[in-house]
This record gives sequence, C-alpha cells and structure tokens, in this order.
Amino acid sequence: MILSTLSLLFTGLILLIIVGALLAPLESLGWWAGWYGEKETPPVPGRATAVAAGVPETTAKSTLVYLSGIGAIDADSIPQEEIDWGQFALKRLPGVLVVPDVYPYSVTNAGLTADRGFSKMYAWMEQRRLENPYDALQFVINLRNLFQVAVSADRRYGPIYNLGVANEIVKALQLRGYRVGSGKPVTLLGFSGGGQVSLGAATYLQPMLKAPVRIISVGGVMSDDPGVDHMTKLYHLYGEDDPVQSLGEKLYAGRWNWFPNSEWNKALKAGKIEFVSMGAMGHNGPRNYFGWTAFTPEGKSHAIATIDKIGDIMVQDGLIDPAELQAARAANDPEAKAYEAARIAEAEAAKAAKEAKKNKEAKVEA
Amino acid sequence: MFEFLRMMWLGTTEAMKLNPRAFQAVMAGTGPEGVILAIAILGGASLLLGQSVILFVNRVSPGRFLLSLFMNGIIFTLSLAVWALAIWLTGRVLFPNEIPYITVFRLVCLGAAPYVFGFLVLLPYAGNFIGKVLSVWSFLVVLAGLTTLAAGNFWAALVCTAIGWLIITVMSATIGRPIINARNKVWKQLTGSEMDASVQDILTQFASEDQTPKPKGGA
Repeated sequence: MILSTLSLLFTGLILLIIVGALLAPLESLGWWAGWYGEKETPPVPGRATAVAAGVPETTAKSTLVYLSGIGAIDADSIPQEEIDWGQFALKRLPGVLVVPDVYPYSVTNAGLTADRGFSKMYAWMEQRRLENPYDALQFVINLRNLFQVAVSADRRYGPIYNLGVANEIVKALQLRGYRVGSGKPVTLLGFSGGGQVSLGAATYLQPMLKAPVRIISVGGVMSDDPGVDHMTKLYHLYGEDDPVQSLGEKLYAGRWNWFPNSEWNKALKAGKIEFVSMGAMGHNGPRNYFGWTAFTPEGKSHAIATIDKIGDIMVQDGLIDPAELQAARAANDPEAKAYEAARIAEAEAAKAAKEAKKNKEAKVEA
Repeated sequence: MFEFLRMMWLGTTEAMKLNPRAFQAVMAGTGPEGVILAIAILGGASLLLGQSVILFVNRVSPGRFLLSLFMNGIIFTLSLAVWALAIWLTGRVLFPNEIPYITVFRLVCLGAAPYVFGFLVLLPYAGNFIGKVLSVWSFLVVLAGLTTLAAGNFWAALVCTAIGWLIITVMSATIGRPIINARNKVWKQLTGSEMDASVQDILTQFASEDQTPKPKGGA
C-alpha cells in the first residue's frame, strides 16, 4: 500500500516535471507571438527600445549588470546570500554603475509574483523562504528557472528568449542613466544560470548598445551559445569543488573537444574565453562563491575573494581605476572583517543550538 | 467516441511495442474505420506541435496555429500515402505479390504511431534528440509491419522500405518538385515563412524590415 502510494506520487512528480518543461518555452514564445495581450510590441533585433528620458546620464566609467542565479523570484527577491554579497560588491567596485534590476528568467522582466499564472503560489513560497532560507519548496522555483535556462540555451527558443532579456537589460541600463550609443562598456555578471542568460543575451546586446560587452560568469552553467561570437571577452570564475558549473561542458556537445569548429571552441582558441580558478569553492552551501564563513588560503572569505577577483578583472580590462580600487578595498576591509566575524559567530551559535537540541532529544529518548 | 479513442491509444501503444498482432489486425482490417488514419493525422499534428516554434516566431494567431496543426496532420498523411505507394510498387516489382495498396498504406500510417508523442519535441534541450528517436522508432514500426506483411521476410521488407524511401527522395528533387512546391506554398500561406527557415533566419528577416511585422492571419 505504502509502496504503491509512493510509486504513484513519484510518477505524478515526474509527470509534473515533464509538463513544466513542456510549458517552459511557451512563456517566451507566446510573448513573442502576442498571445498574452502584451501592450508593448516585442523588440526587433539590432534596435534598442528607448526608455522615457529624465534620468541624468551616469558618470560611471563602466557598467555591471547582475543576473542572479536560479533561486531568484524577481529582480529584488533573490537569495539573501546574493543580496549581502551584492552590497559589499557595490562598495568594493568603485566607479562602476551596478544594475541589479533585471530578472533573467523572464523575457519581460516580470518576476514570479507579478501578474501571471501561479503568482500566488510563488508569493507563498517567497514568504516561506523569508522565514527559512533553506525551505525545501525553493526546489520548485529553482526547477522553474532551470527550465528557462534550458530555453535560453536551446537553439530553437534561445533567439527569442535572449532577445527579450537583452531588451530588458537595455531598458534597465537606461533607467540607471546609461546612454545607448555612448560606447561605454557593459559587463554582464551572471551567477549559475545567469551565466547562460548573459551569454545568450550578448548576441543581441552588443548590436543594440553599440558598445563592448563582457561577461563574468560566477559558477555559470553555460552552453555552446552563439553569444560567444558577440562579446568582447568571457571570464568564467569556477570553484574546484563546484560540480554544477561543469554541467555546461558535459551537456552541450559544442563544448566538447571533439568539435573544434564549434563557436565555443573557436572562441576558446582565440582567447575570448578565460577560465579563472577560484580555488576550493562550491556552488551551494557555506563554501560557495558568496560564503562568509569559508576562507581562501590567503585568508579572504569566499565572498570577498569573489568580489576582489571581479575587481581585478575589471582593472585588468581598464574598467576600474586601480588606485580607486585599492582605496575602496582598504576602506571596506574593516566592515568586511566585522561582517565575516558576525557570520562566523552566527554559524557557531546555530551549530551549538543544533547540538543542544540533539542532546536534549537523546536524553528524552534515554 | 470513447471506443474510438481507446482503439487509437491501443493501436499507438501496440505498434510502438512492435507487436505483430497489431500489424495482423491492421492487415485484416479489423477495428473501427479510420483509427489508423486518425493515428497518422494526430502524429503529424503532434509533431508540428513539438516543432511549433516556427509558428510562434511567425506570430500566427491561436486560430491559425490550430489550423496549421490540423493541416500538417493532413500533409503528413498524404506524404505517408506517397511513401506507401513507393513501397508497394517496389514490392510488386522485386517480390511479385498480390498485397493490395491499401494494406501497405494502413501499415505505413501505423508507422506514425511514435509521432503521436511528437509534442515532446517541444521540450527544451532534450526535444531535438527525442525527435530523432521518434523518427527511428517510426521507421522500425514500418519495417516490423512490413516484415509481418511479408510473412516474416525481414530482408524483403527492408529492401522495399529503403528503396521506397530512396524513390521518394529522388522524386522530391526531380519530377515531384511541383508537388513539393505546392506543399511549401500551403505552408508559407499558413505560417508566413519558408518551410526550412530557422528561427534566427526569421529574426534576421524581421530586423531588416522597416516595421515590426504584424501577426499573420485572423483568429
């Protein structure tokens, strides 16, 4: 009886996953076809959608657009670890206009709790996540966004999906004071699935902005996307203990060595793609790229090490002034150290509470 | 109606299992009329649903989308009829027999059974691979059906299937060109793009136009 119920539940779950995957491309395809009564006409490749003026032009030398990992519910509702990390990144990357306003898993930048099907369910899941960042139902959000990453990477759907996201990036840039045609370089910073979406969007972004587009992937899961032909440089930051980031090179044939003429392998050969090891970092958990309680051999927390690596890359590419970067780091170091200490104390307290609970339960059983 | 759908499901699943009894039933002509034809039309429609990105990219309206699925089912079944004719003629010439054309046609139509799951081609990442698996599976169903028809003579069935396919390929590029052109014209009328156009081709075409294209067709 229990076995048959479990078998039924398992079959139901598999069927739900297949249905979810089948419906995944329809969101962007239906948007493009105008089936959902969109007020705005979908963008045209090569043409940037103008956003109402009134925002003064940014004085920043370069721009960084952050595309979150698959845990994001909308551009603002992302996992807490990414928010904390982002706040320190803002302080340690001087002279850079940071644009965190794009939800990379929607062609219209509409978050999961916006006016759409199942929005109430996602709002409920968001509430649960606020109460417990490790809530098991986060899996549903991850899966939904994972399917959108697969849509972005699919050669059939990718052109539509990536054009939609590129258009939203251009709009978000303008709302932060970036001027289309100014030629100012734009860097896409994509974590996990955001890496693939960055690469996909690059195909349309460079012709729309008429500016150099770089990509910094932090543990990004990327396909052999034709976007590699439309960006200046891709830096892939990867942790030695991160098996997720390597999924891209396993799942997409164009990244295999067997196909030296694939777009990816040609770009790799031309030096447009650079792999940057982050040491013993993982994709999830306390030892991930945003971790405050795990440290590199040099004594930096993973979070600060990742931010500083991004800073080093941007200095190397002339996107940040080196003297300003050093000053910003020096000014922020005490705050970063204090934050690391607080997080360590928090983790130790949580561990002690867990031990105490375990001991109490053991005593009750005895 | 329910019995018809049940027979369709049974025919589809048993054909996919390469069950000789399913082929024998088709040869004997038992079961409700039109079940085999319905499987072929549904297979064609489902396959197009799986490949429907081309319809979306051309911004066809929901009504025209459904019409395109149905029309593809018809076009697909007609192409099966031509393939069945080529197989039947090959069999007549190389392995003289008295098997009627309609029996071969029904078996070839049953070969479309795997395409009933053609909508799975819609799946991101795995879809293209699934499409290829369904094509091979469909070929195997036709081959198994013809082997049953040829009283277990596998090589005769393989020769007829392969030469039949070869004839179609050669005809498509030669005397069958006007028919192919007519089919492509119907497709273009329905979708607004060439049959072999990629999504990127269509986007490039949009980019080169002065104005964003309007949706194709009415409701």
